[in-house]
Amino acid sequence: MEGFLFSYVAGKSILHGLDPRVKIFSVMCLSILIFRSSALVDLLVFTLLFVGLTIIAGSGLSGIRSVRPLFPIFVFIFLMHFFFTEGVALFDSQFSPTYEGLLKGSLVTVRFVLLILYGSLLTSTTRPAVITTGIERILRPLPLRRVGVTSFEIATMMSLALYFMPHLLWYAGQVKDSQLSRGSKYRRDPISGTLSLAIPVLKGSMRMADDVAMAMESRCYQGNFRTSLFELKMTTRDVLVFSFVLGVTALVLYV
Amino acid sequence: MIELKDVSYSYPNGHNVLDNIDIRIEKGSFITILGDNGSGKSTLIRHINGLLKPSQGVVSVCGMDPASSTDIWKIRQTVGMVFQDPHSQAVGATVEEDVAFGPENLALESDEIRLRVTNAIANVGLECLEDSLLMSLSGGQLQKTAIAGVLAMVPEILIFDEVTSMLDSVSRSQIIDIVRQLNKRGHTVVYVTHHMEEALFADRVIVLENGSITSDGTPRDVFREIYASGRKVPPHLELAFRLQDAGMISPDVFPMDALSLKEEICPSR
Ligand SMILES: Nc1ncnc2c1ncn2[C@@H]1O[C@H](COP(=O)(O)OP(=O)(O)O)[C@@H](O)[C@H]1O
Ligand SMILES: [Mg+2]
Repeated sequence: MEGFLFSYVAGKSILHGLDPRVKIFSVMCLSILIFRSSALVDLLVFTLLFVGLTIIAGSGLSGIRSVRPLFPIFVFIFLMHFFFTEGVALFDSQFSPTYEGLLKGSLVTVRFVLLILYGSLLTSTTRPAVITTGIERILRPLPLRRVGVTSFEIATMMSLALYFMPHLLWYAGQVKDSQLSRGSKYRRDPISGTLSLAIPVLKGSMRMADDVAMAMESRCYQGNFRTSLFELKMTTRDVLVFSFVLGVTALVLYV
Repeated sequence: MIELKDVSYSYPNGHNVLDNIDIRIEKGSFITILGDNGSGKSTLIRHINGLLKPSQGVVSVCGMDPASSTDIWKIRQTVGMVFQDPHSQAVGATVEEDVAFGPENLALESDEIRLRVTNAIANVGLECLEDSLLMSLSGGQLQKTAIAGVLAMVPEILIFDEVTSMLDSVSRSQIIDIVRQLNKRGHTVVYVTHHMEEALFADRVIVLENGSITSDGTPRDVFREIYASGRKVPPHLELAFRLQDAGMISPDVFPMDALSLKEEICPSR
């Protein structure tokens, strides 16, 4: 699984050791700043910061490489802006990209790439279980019980999704193989092909959901209070990093 | 310590699956429930940890009632249940996270959880895979993870529902070894299977057919009875029974496998 989009890369760096709440908060602050920056020069700063943090994390290029599957989306976003922004035409034809489109497209695409990269820096330096525990602790003070869920249920749902997404893909592969081996033809007709795959996969995953729910209940799951194998503890370093990020963000936003 | 008195069960769709079941299981024993697919084995054992409530009759586990909502969490700590499909009882991304799920639900401190997780993982021999992603494990390893996940709750009673039926033969015998080991360490074991070979090790075999108990006794008596009724028993047992009927070996012999039967007939020096 190493090298998959948003997967965890074990390590012992400072970034790995930071409290997940501080990391989640920092990524949120960075996202806000990245969205507010309107010049490519600003984004260069965030790019350099990302390079610096990646070196600190010691996860090498795997974080960047894992973003590769999203490349077509990046290109798409860029081209949309490149061609469909009003402005000075670059070529003398009816459907010409514009100069403004080039600027805006680069800006939007770089922003988007940076968001994804920072997200993958978070997930590559934090165990999924620690992220969900962190999110649970962030959500806990919110009055979620009024809308009928608990922060623990949300966290459990997220960890279940983390396990079942890849599993569902694997299962779909199995169903597809078994259908192919019984001679069904896929490529001819994409619509009925997709349906004939989706229905058994859906049916299988419903049955599986029943089984999982039973296994969870058997292990005393109640969705109320629960603890975590990974206890979170704010250290002085966490508080310092948190204050620093908060300070810088406030400074940039309000000064 | 586990007692089912006159238990019947019908699913909400009206399907009547269990008929007047009476079972008493003593502490520390190793019981096998043997029955064909659809005979009601899963339905029966789900009454023991309160996943199902009897339509009629009473279940009692260590003096508690699984059908009552006040005892339910205590019962589920006392009775650990491992299921058939290795893929659909995993709830964590890695082995240790999955094993920690139960203790986390019990709201234990993280040091205590860590201790229990390490112990449980050691008990099933997965020490070197603690940090592995479940996606990367084989069916047998997943099933061992599931057993560890149940052990981490420190239950007295362990129920295994056809846990080997989706595994290859090597993992199968490893899992059976683990189960026997756990019984030796003092856990009461209820082992559900449709494989006769897997019923040989038990102290007692209960045969379930169409929701009723048709035999109940030591493996030797139960398999004799099955054999006498003209149905298939494992080949080495059939041979042993035939040899016994012909007076060629002692009627007390009950070989676990072909090798021990061979030792009985011509002992190697
Ligand atoms: N949720 C359900 N609703 C209705 N009928 C069920 C349900 N689960 C099982 N059954 C039926 O109950 C019978 C016994 O099932 P089960 O206890 O799973 O048998 P076993 O575990 O011995 O294979 C089967 O005929 C099955 O079709
Ligand atoms: Mg069953």
